[in-house]
Amino acid sequence: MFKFILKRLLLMIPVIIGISFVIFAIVSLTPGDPAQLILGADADPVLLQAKREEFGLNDNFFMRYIKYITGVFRGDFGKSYRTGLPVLGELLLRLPHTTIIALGGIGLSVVVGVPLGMISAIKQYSFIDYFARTLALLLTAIPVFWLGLLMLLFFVLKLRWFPATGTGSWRNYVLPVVALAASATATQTRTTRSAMLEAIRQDYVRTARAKGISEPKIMFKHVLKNSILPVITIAGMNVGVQMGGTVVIENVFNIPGMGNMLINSVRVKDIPMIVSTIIMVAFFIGVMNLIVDIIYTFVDPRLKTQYVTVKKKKDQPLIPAQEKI
Amino acid sequence: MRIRKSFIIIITVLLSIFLLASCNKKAEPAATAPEKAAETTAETAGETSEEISAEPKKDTLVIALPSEPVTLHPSTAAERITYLPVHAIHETLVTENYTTGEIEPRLAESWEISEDGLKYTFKIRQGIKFHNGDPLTADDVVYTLNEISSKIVDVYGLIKNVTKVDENTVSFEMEYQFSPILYLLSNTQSCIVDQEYYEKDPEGYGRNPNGTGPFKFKSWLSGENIVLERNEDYWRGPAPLASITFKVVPEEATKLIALESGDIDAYIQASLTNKPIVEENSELKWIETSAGQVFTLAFNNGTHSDGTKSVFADNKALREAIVFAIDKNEIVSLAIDDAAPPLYTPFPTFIQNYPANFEGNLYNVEKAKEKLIEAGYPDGFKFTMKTTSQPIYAKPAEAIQGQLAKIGIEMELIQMERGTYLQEVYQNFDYDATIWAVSCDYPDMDSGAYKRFYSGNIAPGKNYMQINDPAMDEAIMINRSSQDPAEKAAQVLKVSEIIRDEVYALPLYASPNTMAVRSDLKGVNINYGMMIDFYLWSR
Repeated sequence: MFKFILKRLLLMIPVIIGISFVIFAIVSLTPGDPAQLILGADADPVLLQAKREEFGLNDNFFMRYIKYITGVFRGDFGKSYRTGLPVLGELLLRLPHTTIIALGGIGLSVVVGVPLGMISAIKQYSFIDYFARTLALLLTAIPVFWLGLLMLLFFVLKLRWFPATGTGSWRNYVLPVVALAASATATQTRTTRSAMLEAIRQDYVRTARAKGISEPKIMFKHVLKNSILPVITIAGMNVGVQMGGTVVIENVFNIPGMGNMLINSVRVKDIPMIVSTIIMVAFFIGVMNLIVDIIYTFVDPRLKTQYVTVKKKKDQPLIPAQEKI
Repeated sequence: MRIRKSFIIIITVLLSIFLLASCNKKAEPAATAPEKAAETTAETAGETSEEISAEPKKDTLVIALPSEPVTLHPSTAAERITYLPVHAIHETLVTENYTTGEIEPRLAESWEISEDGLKYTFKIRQGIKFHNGDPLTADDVVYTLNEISSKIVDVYGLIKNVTKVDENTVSFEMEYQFSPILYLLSNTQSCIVDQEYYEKDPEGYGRNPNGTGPFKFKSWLSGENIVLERNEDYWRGPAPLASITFKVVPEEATKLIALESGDIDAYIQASLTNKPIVEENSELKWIETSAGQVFTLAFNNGTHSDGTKSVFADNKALREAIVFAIDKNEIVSLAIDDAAPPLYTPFPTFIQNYPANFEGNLYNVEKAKEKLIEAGYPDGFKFTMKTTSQPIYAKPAEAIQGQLAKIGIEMELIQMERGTYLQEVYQNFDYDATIWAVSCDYPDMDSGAYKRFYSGNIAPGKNYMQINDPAMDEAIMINRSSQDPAEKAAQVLKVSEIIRDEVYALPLYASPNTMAVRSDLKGVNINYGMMIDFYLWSR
């Protein structure tokens, strides 16, 4: 297991190199001069040239990339073009806000979406099922941006329950988390519902019922356990969606997180900042996917065998096959 | 057994994840829809509103900026939004009165200008201290003008031989007579810094400034806010406001909601579309100054970077055809909801010696058609216009596109991202026509004309229209060195006439500088260059 985790972590290195190269190429090779964007339209040519020299923009693209990526692996993410401050410090300052919102969003979507999907499946075609399905449809259809603004209007302006901007207290995070969780909750509900429905119709459920096992026990022990895999998969996939959503949400609710910074950096083509933020997000998603994979092995022991086969095959090649039976 | 054990592990892992996640939100993670989430926090929220209303009298100000300042260093501050905090912290030798436009003494008690207008001598006020306690000396002024302001090559290149005459006197000479120099000395780039403090850490100065102004720097939380607090030892007496918080709020809708809910007290660059909402609300006030930026339809009067000639170069009739086909009244109503009248001179009305009642080229479809034939395009004509995709540029461009189509001129509109635009149009001159806004740094024609219309400035980022006209150059240079109002007025008129008659460009309108504030704020001010004197604000 440990070996598997290590292998997965090591695998992230080529992924990060690949992602950073593509992003670096996109921001470097598209037209637009960072020096000009930072110094403004009327900047003096002498100052512009000095700025370009300072950023190393006169160097060859590959040289710049190699310089950047070797720095990254030494823990040096470079200096922001815009502020001149080290990128890493800035990123670490912003990371907590984004983490709170993203994890909060995923947490909320699971906490709300899974039970709702379960009830919806157990009581199929009941009022609550229709309610859950309509809600899910609505939440998927509403753009995050618009939902965020509506929430601002209602909860901030009308009811004055939350502040509109800032990060001082937990109250600042409630609306962004709820807004971000909206569409993830919808997918979570729908996935749970369909996975449960599929499991409910299985023969072993009928057998269990025939044996006279109580309904709650059937549902939790047999149905839920067998249908939890796609639910976890969706939660894992939502991590990526949530990270993307934070870019929009942080702007609407004015949270100084990474998404907010990404937008500011893209405006002035702050290359080290953009690429480093993307690397951070990629790393975050990678780690979350790894966690999801580990959770899989606990949920479904059959999967666990896949990770440890390499070693076991040498000793006892037949055991995994036996376990499957 | 094994199954049970692993199941317990999953549950604990899942639970701990949820717990971790939900502890940031609230104690009970039971919410389903937004309403429910809010319900659980109802009690605690009651306290907040009480907190706000219970406060006896607020003397703090929270003002939203559309983006985060890059630095608080006076001379590397390139964006206008940066000027606000920088100018609250620092002071200049002389200052411009934002209501009258007159130059007034500030750090300099008095000044003398020599007979020939070349030598300036300033008497520095005694007993002024920087925020860290260092006294303001003539050395600081000399150092600032020599080492810091001079980095802005364009204007300060004219200033030479900055010398310390005695402990509280500083003098400098000018390359040639340059009448608006006092306005330049009141600009952000001329803010006086503490030499001793600055030299200790020049790199870090932008994040930890030290000035003589009414507010001192307190903290800067990246991406969130910059806090200034009242300078209790300020030489003109402490300011009414105890602190100013500059908060970064990029979204217009968020800003308006935050203003309405009292989360922020003011925001600059308010969108004109929100003007009715602000004016209807008795708790809010709409502030608007005359004309900040001049929006101009600019022609490329020279060549592209690859040597090919722009279609408009050396074809005055063609430029005229376009100009006569444009109805500015309609453009103004389509682009800025009639927030400003059409503009006929290339300058905003606040500049000194502005030619009132100037007659510009008027909308005349018949004349436009005639000119089109004269230009050699009787069957219509096609050209491209490049603008940035920002609505402030795209809106007037689209309006023009529609009007030109009526007389058979097909205008292809290319909207590009700002960086690309600056490079192609501003740096490389690879365009035929564009719409661009220019703001004035000082109320003299020179601010708009020297950089944009002077032939010696046909260089990237300057005279991008490539206007090369000896008569124009002469008028600009006379205005630069003249101190005589009548002579200067004649030059302003002349430049306006050249732009009109030679049709190098078509001024469209000057959009106002806007600000939305809470109505309990008093002394609120903003000038044509988006400068604010926070010392006058109170509540």
